[in-house]
Amino acid sequence: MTPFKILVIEDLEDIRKLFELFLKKKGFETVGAADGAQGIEAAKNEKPDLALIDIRLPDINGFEVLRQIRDFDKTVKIFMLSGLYTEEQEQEVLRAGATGFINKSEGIGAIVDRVVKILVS
Amino acid sequence: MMDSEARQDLIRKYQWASKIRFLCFTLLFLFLMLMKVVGGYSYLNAALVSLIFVEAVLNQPYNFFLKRVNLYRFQFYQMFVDIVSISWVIYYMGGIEAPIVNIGYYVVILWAGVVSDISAVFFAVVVSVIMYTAVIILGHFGIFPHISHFSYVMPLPHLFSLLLGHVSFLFAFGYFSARSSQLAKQLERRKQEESLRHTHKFLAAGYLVGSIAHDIINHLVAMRAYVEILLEKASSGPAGDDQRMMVDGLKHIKDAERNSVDLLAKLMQFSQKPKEKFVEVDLHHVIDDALELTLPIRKMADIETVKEFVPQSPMIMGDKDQVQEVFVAMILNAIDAMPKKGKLIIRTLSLLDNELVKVEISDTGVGIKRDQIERISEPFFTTKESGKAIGLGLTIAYGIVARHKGKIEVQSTLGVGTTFTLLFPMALKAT
Repeated sequence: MTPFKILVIEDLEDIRKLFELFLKKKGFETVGAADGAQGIEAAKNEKPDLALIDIRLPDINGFEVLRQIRDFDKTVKIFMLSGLYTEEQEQEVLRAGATGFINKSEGIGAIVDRVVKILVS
Repeated sequence: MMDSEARQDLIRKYQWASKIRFLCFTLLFLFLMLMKVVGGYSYLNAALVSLIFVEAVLNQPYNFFLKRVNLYRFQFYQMFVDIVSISWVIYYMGGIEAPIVNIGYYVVILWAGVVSDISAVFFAVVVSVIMYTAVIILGHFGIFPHISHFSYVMPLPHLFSLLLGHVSFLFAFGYFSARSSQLAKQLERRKQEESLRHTHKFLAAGYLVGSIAHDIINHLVAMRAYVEILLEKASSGPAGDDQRMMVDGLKHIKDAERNSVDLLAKLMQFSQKPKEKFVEVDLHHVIDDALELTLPIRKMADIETVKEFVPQSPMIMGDKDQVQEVFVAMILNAIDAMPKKGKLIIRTLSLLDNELVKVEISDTGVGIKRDQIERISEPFFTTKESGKAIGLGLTIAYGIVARHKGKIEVQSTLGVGTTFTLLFPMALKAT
């Protein structure tokens, strides 16, 4: 079985690297992208099974990235990351076609555990 | 065109005027009746009663007219009628023998100053002087039937000196009324300006707190992940006092981090702007709203505003309040750039076959230095005097415009003026 491939689109290098580190430890293959444009490109070329996208990105809004990826890939699971949870934000994320919403302040370890559960199930 | 809020305000003031007028004439009527009963005065004749009736009745259709006419012109007509009525009362009370009724003129002049402008005061003073002089002179020389309640004909020099005294007092009072009304209006406008700037600063502070908290949360999240890695390493390492201390310390860091994040999340929720709602927005409406909000400040700064809008309303996808905030910030900046008078020009253009809308906001102000233009969007960068601005207005404006997929460009010539150009993509027509 080929390992799942996970795309992390996050502008803060620390957080992106940590996500990749935690995911690799669980045996996943990861691709990192520092901004929206790189992220969309990576989604096209690498065909990930799951993508984590920060809502706040330096170039394009996370929602726009989500929409553009959805345009060419309907099956990839996409989770949007934000520093703050609000119910409206979660609703908006789901309406925009994401699989789910993740509050970054849950902690990277906890998020990775959740993602693993979703992928394996 | 008078904006609706100012008009409503004026209508309220005129309704008050009509109440005061009604009260004055009723009191006068009662006073005269008392005089008739106590002193047996014979002059309370049909003319006087009909006059009071006219003034009382005038108040009835008054409210009806107020809402339908050009208020500015109407007030001149109203003042004229008031002054004619007062002069009529003075005539019937013996002209120069009834100095106390002159107070009526002062009320009209004062009112003109409170509600309207210098030209209204000037009008009230001049009409009062002409009417008063006419009533006294015409009565004295018998061109109108001479009315005197003391069977007394005042010697001419005495009459003229009294008349001159009254007339010069009217002019002096007119000057006082015009000056104090200007001062009162300036104070009122300054108050409004302060409140608008306060809101602006408050929004800026909220934005600042929100964005800083967001960044700190990100750093804390990274910190927790590192702590977790270390914790895992420490837990699996060789057991001992050192190891226990390490694990314990790391757990404390983790708890502290957790608490900080919770605290920041609360802070963010508190400082959060109302949720962005992107809907189709008519840019002309938004600009008009921003102009209305800044109307008192523009008036106070003596700024002429010129709107050159494309005929077709440009629709964009956006959050109305946020886009309005951008225009308010731009207009406030333009006003601040023009300390002594000036012209604010807001122009809209549609470009690229209605794909883009361009808004130009130009002022004839002091201009911005070349090296400052580059820094204009930096947080806390300001060229304004300290205390007036904290240097976030344009930072926020740039952020909002970027979220609307727009662009801001600046062109400025020192001593000539500055033009901010905003570009927004137009909303796609519903397919």
